[in-house]
Amino acid sequence: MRRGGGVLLVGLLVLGLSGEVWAKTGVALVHGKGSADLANPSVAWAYWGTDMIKAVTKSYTVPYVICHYDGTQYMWVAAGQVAQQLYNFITQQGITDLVINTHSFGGIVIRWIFSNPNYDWRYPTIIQRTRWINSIAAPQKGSEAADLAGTLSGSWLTGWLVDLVGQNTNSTYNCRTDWMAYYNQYYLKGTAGRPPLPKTVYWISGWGLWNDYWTKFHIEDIGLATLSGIAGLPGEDDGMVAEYSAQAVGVQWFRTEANHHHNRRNDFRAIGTALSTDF
Amino acid sequence: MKNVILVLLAALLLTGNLWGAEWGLMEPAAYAGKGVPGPEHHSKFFVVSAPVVHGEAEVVVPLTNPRGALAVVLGDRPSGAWAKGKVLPRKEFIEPELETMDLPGAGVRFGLDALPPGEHRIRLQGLAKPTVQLVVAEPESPLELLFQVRPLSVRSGEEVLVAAQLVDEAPVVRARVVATLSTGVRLVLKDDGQAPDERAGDGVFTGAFLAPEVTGMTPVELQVEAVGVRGQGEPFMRVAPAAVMVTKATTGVAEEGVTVTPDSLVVPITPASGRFRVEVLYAAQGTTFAWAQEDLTLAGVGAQVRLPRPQETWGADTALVRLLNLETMGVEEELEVASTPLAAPPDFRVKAQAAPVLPPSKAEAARRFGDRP
Repeated sequence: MRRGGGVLLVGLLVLGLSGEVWAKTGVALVHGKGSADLANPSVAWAYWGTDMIKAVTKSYTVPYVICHYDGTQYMWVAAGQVAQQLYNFITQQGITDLVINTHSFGGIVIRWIFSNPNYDWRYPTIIQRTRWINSIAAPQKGSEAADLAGTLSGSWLTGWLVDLVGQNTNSTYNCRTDWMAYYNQYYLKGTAGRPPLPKTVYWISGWGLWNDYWTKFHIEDIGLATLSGIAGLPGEDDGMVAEYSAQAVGVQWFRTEANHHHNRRNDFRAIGTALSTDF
Repeated sequence: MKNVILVLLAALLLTGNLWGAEWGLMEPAAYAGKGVPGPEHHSKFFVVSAPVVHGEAEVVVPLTNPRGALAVVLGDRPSGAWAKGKVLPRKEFIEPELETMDLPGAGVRFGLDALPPGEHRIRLQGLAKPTVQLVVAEPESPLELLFQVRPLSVRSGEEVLVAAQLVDEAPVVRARVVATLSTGVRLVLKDDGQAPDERAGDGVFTGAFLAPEVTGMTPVELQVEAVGVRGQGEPFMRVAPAAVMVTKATTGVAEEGVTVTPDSLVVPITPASGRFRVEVLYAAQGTTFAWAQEDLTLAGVGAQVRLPRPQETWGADTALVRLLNLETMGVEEELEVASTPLAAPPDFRVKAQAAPVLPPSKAEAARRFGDRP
């Protein structure tokens, strides 16, 4: 990407003002969608789990920030909250080499930031200081599971449908395939036919469903397998996001059998340990 | 340092834009053109509902291929289900992950494998809610509903085409296909060869509506339901969602149109207030390969936005110009501009060969931690 000098100038300015000469590495974790409670740091921590955070940070030896934002909001609203936390982390700790790990909708939130550098004054600094992004199971082309949630929450429909799941949140709308097709076409970078992102995204996609069910009889894993079956997720999927969607942006890192529940944790597969190999 | 800040401030005051235009080359891809269609939705599921009386309900379920078929109740906990005297196998599940997609985190699934194709009355008991909804999926069925809107993005007053296709082993005997819009409009889609339908009896049911007046950018949701009889005589039902993004345009490209010069595209914008982006995608021989964009803030005035047309883009024969509203996330205008190439088009075969390479540490991690590379 080439520009009229703005980002480069600001980047040099920030680097010069901070007095950084040597790289200082840090890691950020950006969670997916969910409830408004995810704006609470402890809820965001629990989203990943201590084992995962400990693995990613190599027992907390790598400086880290666990981003926490309201999980019901559109990507640009969530990005505002995430950007402030990333900006504070970078500037207060002098981070010059940031690796961002995202799960699910967190990958969309970060892609908003990297697609729209002029949208917010904090974005250029974040982009400039980032080494790369590891995106786990991001619904880059949307999720048919979110489409199903829309079908079942059609309070505006009459007759055979009544509210089963209540109103969808803005982040669920954001994850529907029509919404993501629109954003991919006009507002986001990185998909085919769109400008490239300024930093590389490495994707991890999930293809397993039942995971621990057969050995540990986790009743939780049936839910994702069921959702995969009724929502008609095309191809292989992790119960929430089809692989075609998770793989739509960036460079392949690896595929994992861990389903959407397990691929943000360090249990069924050592996803956190894999992420820690960046340091 | 003070001088740099002064220059930046001066740029901001003069242009309303601190950043200036940016541009770059991109991975060659098929040129999408203006007015791209929405994604094609594929459905092999439907939803039926019934009132619950004394904890029991009866729902009518038309099955086309019960192999691997599932009936799922979300957000309630029926203790059992029967059809034709057979007890349907039952599994409960709890998955908080579903709640991240605004779906209930608990439910019950029933296997439908043991039932023959045809219409079934399924009795459920042990229900707690006043109404039950059963989501029925038939993943092995050859009958599929494809649903799509065209275009995905429109302005208020523009026409939206809605098409639903029923794909099956043999043409369906009869079908009623109705799309319900979130505006309250019900649209009967027809396969009669009358405009906007293209060919009678081809299994594609078509309708059209005018995008409503909205505020800013507002999606209009659609839900299509197809009910009918297959070629083999079995009843069927399918449902699929879609949406179209409607923008109430507040500005646009001025009448004089886009001017193409050897080194730039000048896009005149009519007076408006807000934050906007002008984007251009350069294409040659049906392949998009470069882009340029500029963000700007307008305060009740128009602007002449000059987007770069660097030498690397001189092979382009088409420029797709878009005017986006960064406050409403709408698409104010989209137009194609023909440009006379000033150079030969890029050799896309050479560009397409450049495959990304993983850094060694990542390649090693992929070997250690990846499944099914």
